[in-house]
Amino acid sequence: MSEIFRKIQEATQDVADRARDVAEMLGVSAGEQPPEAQRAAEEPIVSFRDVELAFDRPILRGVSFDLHAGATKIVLGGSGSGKTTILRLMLGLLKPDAGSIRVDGTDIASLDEDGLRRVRLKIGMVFQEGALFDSMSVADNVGYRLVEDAVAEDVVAARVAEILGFVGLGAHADKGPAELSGGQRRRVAFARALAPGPAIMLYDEPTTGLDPITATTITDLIVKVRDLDGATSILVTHQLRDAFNVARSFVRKQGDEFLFERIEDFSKLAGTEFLMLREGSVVFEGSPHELVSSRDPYIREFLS
Amino acid sequence: MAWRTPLLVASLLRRLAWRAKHAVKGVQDYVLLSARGTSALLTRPRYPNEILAQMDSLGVGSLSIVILTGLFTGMVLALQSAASLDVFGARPYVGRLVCVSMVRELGPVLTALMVTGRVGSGMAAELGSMVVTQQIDALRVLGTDPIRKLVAPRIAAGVIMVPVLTVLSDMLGIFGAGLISIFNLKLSWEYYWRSVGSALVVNDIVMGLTKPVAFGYILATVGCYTGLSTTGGTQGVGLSTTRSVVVASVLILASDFFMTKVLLILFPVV
Repeated sequence: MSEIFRKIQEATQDVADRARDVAEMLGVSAGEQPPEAQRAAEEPIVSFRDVELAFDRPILRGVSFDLHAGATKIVLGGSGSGKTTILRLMLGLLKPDAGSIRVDGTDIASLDEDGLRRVRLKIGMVFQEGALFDSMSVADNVGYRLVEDAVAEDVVAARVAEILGFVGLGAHADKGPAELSGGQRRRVAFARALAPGPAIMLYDEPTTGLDPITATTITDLIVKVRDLDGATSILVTHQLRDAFNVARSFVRKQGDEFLFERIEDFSKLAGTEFLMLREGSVVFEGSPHELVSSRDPYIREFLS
Repeated sequence: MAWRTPLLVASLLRRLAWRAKHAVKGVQDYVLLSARGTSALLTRPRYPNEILAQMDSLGVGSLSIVILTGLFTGMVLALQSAASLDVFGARPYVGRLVCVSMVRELGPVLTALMVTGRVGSGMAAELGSMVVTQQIDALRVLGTDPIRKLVAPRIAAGVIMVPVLTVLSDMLGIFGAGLISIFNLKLSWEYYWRSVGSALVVNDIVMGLTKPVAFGYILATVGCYTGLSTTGGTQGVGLSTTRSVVVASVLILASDFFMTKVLLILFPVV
């Protein structure tokens, strides 16, 4: 565990200890939460309500969905259905014409650029083509946010080495993005998004244009971040194979080994939900089992 | 077919209105970007390393073209001036004419145009590529304000380095004209330099150094604006690059006229 995480854990522990002391003073037993805290725990970490967006044509029409902490939402849909727009709206890169978008309890539609910056610090984003900074090395790309946050050099170096090891690119730290293959670029993008330890991870078509084997390395990373770090995730894709790979795979760590498990029975899958868009409207939201059991002709055609 | 005419006129008017709105929005966005880029230089966080890198790229990188432009402009100016002055038997005034022309007008304008062609287009291409490859979005997602990180350093570099390059261009132009005066026009070296020295006054230098500051600002802001407003993939990057050079060059020449009018009132020729 890196120095940053150790410091964050110490600070969190300190706050928890103080909270326990206060609770004891007030005579409130452990496990008993005030109603506000319970409501906060039940509140989704991401919430879209009747979101509308149009440019020269409607892009999103009344999109609503919730995402709770630790859950994964896989957004499916054809090209131009508005999948990526959902991610851009969540990051505040676009403003909705109507409706509300709440991220971790904050309505982001009303925030200015400074407010948005604070929200974005909770989110890690993996762009479709990686969007790596061409003028920087792999290590500088991965450590970019930490350097911007004025984290000590040695801490940044340790965290970058740790994350690059996690994505299997430890030997490529000094290379430029142009020297990497498509799959390696995506993994660096993954590492860059992951380095600051965000609570929410967004993936925009992370496997598009990759061969099946390389795509599996990317979906395995998504599963690892979901199961081992407990990150809340939204995966936007039109690659059904990769979407179901993420929904069906689970991982646990045993020593230094990552043990993957694959559940074939859709009815036993939990924690992952699908959302399907068609021309900017939500046409399906539910579990993997509900998706594959759907009789909707469009969904049947999409899945076939 | 007469019934079609009002429809065509209405369609034309709609298109004109759309273009006018688009142009006004473009001007508004450009002014906003320039204002935000300038104010970012005055507040934290700043990126001094980026400023130095841009100064190096804009200044050191443009040295060769500025040297060549200044030198040959001065030499051509000496030849042309001598041909005209000979009619009046005033060849000895070549130094005076070249010096004033270079410092007040040709040095600043030609340097700015050359730097626009080389660096302004480069800025548009670089930022345009960053837009189409989503690097600008990535910067924003990673908590960095692209205007602070990318635009402000380029404005600073333009405002600082274009005047420096202009001084260099002026000096080489006068030197080049000196070479022609001595070896081609058979004037004495000493007389030429005395003529240059007597021609140059403080007002000329003020005018010659005020304009490049404005030109540096224009070429940097236009380069950044056209780059950041790129749409349509790699083809869009090409269009932005061309647009950046055309718009910045026209703005430099137009602003030169207005600045000359104002500066001649503030600092009249003695």
